[in-house]
Amino acid sequence: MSSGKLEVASRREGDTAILSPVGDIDINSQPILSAAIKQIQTDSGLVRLVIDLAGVGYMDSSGVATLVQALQTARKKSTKLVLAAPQPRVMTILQIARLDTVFRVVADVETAKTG
Amino acid sequence: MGGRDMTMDGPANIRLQIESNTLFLSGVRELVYHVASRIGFSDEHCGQMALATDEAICNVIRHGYGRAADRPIWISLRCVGGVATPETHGTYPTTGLEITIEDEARQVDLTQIKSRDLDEIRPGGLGVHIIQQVMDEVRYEHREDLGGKGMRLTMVKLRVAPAEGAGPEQEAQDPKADASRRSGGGSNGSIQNSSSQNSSIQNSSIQNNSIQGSAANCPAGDPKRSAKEHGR
Repeated sequence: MSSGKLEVASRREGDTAILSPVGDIDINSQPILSAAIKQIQTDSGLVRLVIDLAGVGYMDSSGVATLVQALQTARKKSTKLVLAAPQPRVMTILQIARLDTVFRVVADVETAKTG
Repeated sequence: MGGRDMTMDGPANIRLQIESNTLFLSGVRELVYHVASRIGFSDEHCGQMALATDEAICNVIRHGYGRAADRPIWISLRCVGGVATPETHGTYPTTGLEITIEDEARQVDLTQIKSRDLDEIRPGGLGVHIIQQVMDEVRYEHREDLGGKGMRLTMVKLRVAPAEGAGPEQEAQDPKADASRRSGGGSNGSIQNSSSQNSSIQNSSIQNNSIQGSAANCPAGDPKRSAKEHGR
């Protein structure tokens, strides 16, 4: 468990955008991630959005809802959304929500960039 | 006007009142996690109880109080089976942790508290499902001490102790927990195989004795729409 704060870094590598949230994603912090995703999904030339979850130690259903929203937007725009390096606790909530096979989930960002 | 000092089955070991401000969620999660850890639960189960508490409080804030940030919520923790004292330090008598969440919000029809269809991929409506999955018992009630207002959610997580029952929870020695960990799901004292279409969590589903299929708090789906539908 961490302090509950959330910071989101973003970078662009060619046609791939990588978002790296660090902290807890809950109902209080979720708007920060949601805003970052929405902003990056409007970027021109975006083919793939990678959300690097390595720095997320906790996520509740608010965070899951944010990811589902991002997936729906990606599908509408015919872009890819890849979740990278989720910690076990985050992976567990995706599994409980039966979304672990709905999302493309990979072990690390490098793999995500090729997927 | 507040919540009770007693849980359903005895006095609470810890009782906390917070305002319905989402800012306080992380603090409550930390409390639940660390108390559960100190009474012998595994890291995985501590995280699950923190998650269930988070989801329950979120539901109160969203649906019970319409996101108002200044309404009261009471959280009670009761260590079922007792806790160690300074004289018995190092023992783990606790057999379960009962977590009770109470509010003063409008009461809802208990039969309407249920999880949504997970086959529908959309945001929202997962809180009740998550609570049911990670806790062993889940019970929703109308409070009877507030003149027609207030809901009470009681959740219990059973502690999986080693055979001798004297140490902290060791999931590696518990086949159910081991299976659940491999599947990534929760482990519960009353696990049954889920009918989930997703094989990865088939071992994590709960048959909740006290609430069966109807338990689930909040309205599935869009919070605003659902709250309206459920009259909260």
